[in-house]
Amino acid sequence: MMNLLAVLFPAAGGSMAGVRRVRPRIVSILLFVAALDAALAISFALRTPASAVVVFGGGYFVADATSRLFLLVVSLVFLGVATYLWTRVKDTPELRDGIEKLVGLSFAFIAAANLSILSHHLVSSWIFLEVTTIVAVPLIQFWPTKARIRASWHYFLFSSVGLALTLLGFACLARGMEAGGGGEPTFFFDALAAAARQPPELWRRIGLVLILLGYGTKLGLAPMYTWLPETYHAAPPAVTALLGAVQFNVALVAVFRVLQLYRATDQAVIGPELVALGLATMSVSAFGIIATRNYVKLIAFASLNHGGVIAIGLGIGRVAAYGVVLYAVSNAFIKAILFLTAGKIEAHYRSEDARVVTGLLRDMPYSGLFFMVGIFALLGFPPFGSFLGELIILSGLIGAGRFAVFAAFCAILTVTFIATGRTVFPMIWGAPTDKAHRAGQTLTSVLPKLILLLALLAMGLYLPAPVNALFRQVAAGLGAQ
Amino acid sequence: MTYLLIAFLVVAVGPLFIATWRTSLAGLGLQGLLLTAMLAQRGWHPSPAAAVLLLDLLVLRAWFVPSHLYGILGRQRRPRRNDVIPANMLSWSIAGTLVILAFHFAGLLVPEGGVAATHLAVATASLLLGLLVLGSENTTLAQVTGALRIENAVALFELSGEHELPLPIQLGVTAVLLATLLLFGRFLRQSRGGVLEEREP
Repeated sequence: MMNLLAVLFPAAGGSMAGVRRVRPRIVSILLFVAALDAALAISFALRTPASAVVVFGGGYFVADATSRLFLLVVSLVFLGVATYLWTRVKDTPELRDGIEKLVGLSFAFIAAANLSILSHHLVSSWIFLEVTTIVAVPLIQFWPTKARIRASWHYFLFSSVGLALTLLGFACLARGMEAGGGGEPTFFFDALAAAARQPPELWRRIGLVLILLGYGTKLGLAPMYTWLPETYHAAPPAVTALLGAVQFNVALVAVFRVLQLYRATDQAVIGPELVALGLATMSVSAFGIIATRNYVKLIAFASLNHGGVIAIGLGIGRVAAYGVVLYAVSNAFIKAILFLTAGKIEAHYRSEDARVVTGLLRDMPYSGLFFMVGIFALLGFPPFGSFLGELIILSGLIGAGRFAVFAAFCAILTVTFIATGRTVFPMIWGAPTDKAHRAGQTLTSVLPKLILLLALLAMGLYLPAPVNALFRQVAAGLGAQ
Repeated sequence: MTYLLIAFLVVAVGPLFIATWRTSLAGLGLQGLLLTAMLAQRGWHPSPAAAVLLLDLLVLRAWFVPSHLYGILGRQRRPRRNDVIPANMLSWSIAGTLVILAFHFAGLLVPEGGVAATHLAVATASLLLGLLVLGSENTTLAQVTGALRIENAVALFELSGEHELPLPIQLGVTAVLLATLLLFGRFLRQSRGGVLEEREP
């Protein structure tokens, strides 16, 4: 029952957004529901044994290590986004106009994301991921500009085509089950696990290629990545955080489910495809980072890079699996911290040009600090979880004897590091401009980002035993040794 | 079944040569009708999930897609002409090559031939032509048409199997399609004046 509450809270909050009497307090309600959701997810993750698997809702939903871990990630990011909106609306009263629509859509987005994570059926997780895509369109267009409308169109078009390819992949899997004599095709995970033990055959392999290509679109993997930098740059910061840190992980959970089912029998197809997509994505990301002087776009291109690293780790599997889980969760928190902080910086300087923003640490002490630490984590500095995750993935590459991939991986990371530092370090430590003035920031407004930051540090230094057990359980499903 | 598949292929190829938006919409509607006919010919097993699938094919794809988009485009008084791929010999040759490749691919996967091979060939050709439309033109209408062609190609491929999705899942898939169509309509309305096509300096 606790599992369903994670969905019911946002759904109830969403229905309240339509009630006229509560509209003046709707952002406070958003914050309250997000805090409740996070408390529930934390208790759910800490109090349930990592290996426990509970199927509920007529067999359509499952609470296992993967769903518990990612419900926790989504709820913490949601709390960060809710706090950001609360402080922005408090500081800028003109943003209150029509805010109930944004809040209602955010609730719907989170409810669909939670349902997708909890799904125990391959097609139902796809349906709820589609729902998050459909709800995200009006969110991206919120406070509309030409750039936002255009970005939302490209986002929706790429997502629709990608998810149509995934659906085609499911149809190929069903065809494979029919051809293999595995009985009536089904997409419930437990029955699929039994069917996956049949010897590999062509339809299944075509299906897996299409599914990974389709979900890869939602992860921003090359070749269908062009929507991502444009959308992350154009959307309002809170929406970008939802897309980058919530929807990305919902799509990743869908990929995890597929790999948990088919890695053992179809590694020969899955591994090379993911490694190739990952390397291509890291390369285009490096070019994007070199070319841009816009700090929001730079973070968006860095998100592409993260997607590439995760794809390579998943392609290698085994030793790298634990690193992938660590890196994916760190990545969610880094993106949430950086996009929300970038929103504050843009609101203060009225510019997204990195050359205009200088002396951030003096002008905006809290935001400057978060931006600096977020960039360190983004670049994979110790002691953050992203560092440890990247290190484990690299050792996985060595262990698997993939030396050429290892060399390419290191070369691209070095280029990314230099290009990012060249653009971002002057923003943080440069001399403030004459016009700049110190922005007032309260501790309460930065508290959720502080929690995300502490979580990032914990993943690099010390993870509480129950949370570490969750990470290990998810990694074991991905083939960790 | 074979003549329905051939008709589907004709409907997929025809609008590439007759470059008006009315032809494109009529083509999409006809594809929906042909999918419904194939479902009927496959054998009708009355069940709630099958009824929803019928609704999906007949009401949404055959009727709602053309009528909803026609209403929007008609109100905008769009010019009659609308190329879904560039009107030149190169594009037409690529389209022809894709159809031949699709039949070759089906021959490799289903070497015994027959209706199953034709079914796969037509679904693959429709998918590839949908991708060609998406990649060739950057107008919103052409891209919406390309995406809907891909949706219909996926539905055609799904009809080649015997399995039926559980009712809640079939309902979800149909609801997602309806929401997608409504959003495509919204984007077509917003695309008036070229907002979605132009590039900002």
